Amino acid sequence: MPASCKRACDVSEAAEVGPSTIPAICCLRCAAELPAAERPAICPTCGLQYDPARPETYATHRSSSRWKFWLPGFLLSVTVGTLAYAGCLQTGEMGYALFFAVPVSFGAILGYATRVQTWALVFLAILTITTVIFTLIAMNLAGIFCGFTLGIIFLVPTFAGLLCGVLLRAILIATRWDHAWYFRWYVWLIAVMPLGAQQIESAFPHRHEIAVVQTGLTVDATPEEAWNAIMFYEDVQHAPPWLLHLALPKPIRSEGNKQQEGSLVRCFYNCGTISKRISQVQRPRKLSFEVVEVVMRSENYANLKDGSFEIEPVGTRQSRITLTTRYQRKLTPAWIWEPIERKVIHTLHGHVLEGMRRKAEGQEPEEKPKEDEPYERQDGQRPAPRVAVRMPMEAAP
Amino acid sequence: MTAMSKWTAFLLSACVPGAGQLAARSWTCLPWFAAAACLVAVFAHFGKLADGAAWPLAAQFGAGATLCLLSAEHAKRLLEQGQGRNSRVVSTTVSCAGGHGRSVDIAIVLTVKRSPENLWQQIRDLPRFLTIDPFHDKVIVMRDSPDVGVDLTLSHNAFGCRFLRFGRILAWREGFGYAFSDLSARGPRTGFPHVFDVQIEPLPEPLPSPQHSPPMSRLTIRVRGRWTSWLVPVWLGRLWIRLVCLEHARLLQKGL
Repeated sequence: MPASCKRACDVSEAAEVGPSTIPAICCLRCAAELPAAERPAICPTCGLQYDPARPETYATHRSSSRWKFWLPGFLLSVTVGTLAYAGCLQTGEMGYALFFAVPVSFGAILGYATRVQTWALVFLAILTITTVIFTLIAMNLAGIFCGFTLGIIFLVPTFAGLLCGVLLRAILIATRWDHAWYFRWYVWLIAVMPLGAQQIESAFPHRHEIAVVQTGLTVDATPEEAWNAIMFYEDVQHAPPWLLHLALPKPIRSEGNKQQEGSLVRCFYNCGTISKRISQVQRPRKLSFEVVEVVMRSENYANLKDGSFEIEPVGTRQSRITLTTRYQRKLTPAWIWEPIERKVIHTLHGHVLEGMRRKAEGQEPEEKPKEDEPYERQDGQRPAPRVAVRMPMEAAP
Repeated sequence: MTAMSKWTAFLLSACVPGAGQLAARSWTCLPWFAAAACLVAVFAHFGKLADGAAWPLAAQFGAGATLCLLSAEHAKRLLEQGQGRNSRVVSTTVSCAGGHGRSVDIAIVLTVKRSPENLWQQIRDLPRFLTIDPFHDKVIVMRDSPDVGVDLTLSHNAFGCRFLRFGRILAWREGFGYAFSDLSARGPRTGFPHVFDVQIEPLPEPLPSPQHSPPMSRLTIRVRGRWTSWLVPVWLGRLWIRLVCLEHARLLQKGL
């Protein structure tokens, strides 16, 4: 009579079948399941020998390549990061969505889609940032200097996204959702998140800021000599610092009369041209110009507005030259990008001032400067207020 | 605590000179760290002198890469097992037989101060002897004892990347040598299929001398195979195999 429980179910079969004590063994070469044997045998699929008495001759589980645990997630993260950056860049806005939402997105995908140890996850995050940056540079979506800066900016949001991805995965596993089924949907949502953030950011009114950068240098020359030494970036003969090599287009030459008010000066670079109109000539005190046209093949991170050279006498044989550049800022947030922009422009001013100093003092163009940074930054010393214009929201069609 | 793999130390020092030595708990990490710091200081000073020129970057990259590779090789050698100074190997030669087409034929010949019987006892221990190869991590003989027709599983570890290859003992001449194949898991036509041929020959005894000279043997390890990669040209493949055999010869000097 078969054993039965209170509900008269036949439980004898369940009683006879105990827990499985013989784990399945697989071939080391083809991973096929090997039949149970008591003596040395060969794999029925590929013919590789094995010995059931020696565990090292077979595998106890189907060996899946370790690459599957991280490579697809890594490639997906790089792809999403690159495409999201390119997509956000198409709107022309370079703000929080581009510099924060994108790295959070591909960091979250990396954390969600990979199953590796913590140290490997950190290494993969850094590798992903590096690969995305290199891809952007290769696709001409970012310059070398901008790419390097992006790499640093991306660090914190990427790791924040990484943490979110890992937590999401842990929550789904803990709640026993079939995350394999929902995998695609979550990944899609995370991937399009930067584009959604970009649309939201574009809907807000923009604050167009005009930034002013001033740099001064005292030269051993009369104002007249300093006036005759006025030159643009394209006219400086000595080699520029490495920062300008990386951050700015390479200047070639300039054409036009810089001493005539109203004349148009065209400046040629390796990737385009900038046309400037001389707006004011007060010999030997002040020369001002305004930028009328910028035609560049590379990414334009600031809208140049105008600039000026101001010369003040200092004593009998010295003059103080002050360069001023006004530009409209395009990159946000300002607390990250403005210091970098000022550093680049101050370096540019310093390079031009050094060229003027050498010419005014009669030095050879190839001589080394007296100091590393002989010029003085004058931001904040001369109150040239920043002009902020609040743009009204566009009316709905 | 598992012993550190030599390739882990190699990769650590390749990234940061001295890191592999530190992981191997060797005091030699200090001079490597100092060398790296000096190089960085030289780079910084050199960069200022170059005044924004681009060509020093290549020199800096070359110097940095050289330092990293030297440190990595040193870290790897710290974790290699072997006798070193008490080696019984008298001389070593690595010769290429001048393969045709895609064939590769390289031989390592060692003169060893051991009798053929003594040497045979060493080389017949396949799991130990075959792991002297720089890329052989573990060798499993799929039967209780090696013989003709017995399969081998050869676990490779190349620069930290582990993968399995499979072979079979093709010949077994007790006391004289053996031959076995080393094939890719994807089949015998891909992944540089090659055959190892290991032979021992007794060397004639030298002229009688007042001092008793130990018996000498010649150990020949011949690698014959076919370079199947289309990405890497054959001449570069032969050069690579030759370098590997030179490294193998160096490790045999320590291991025998």
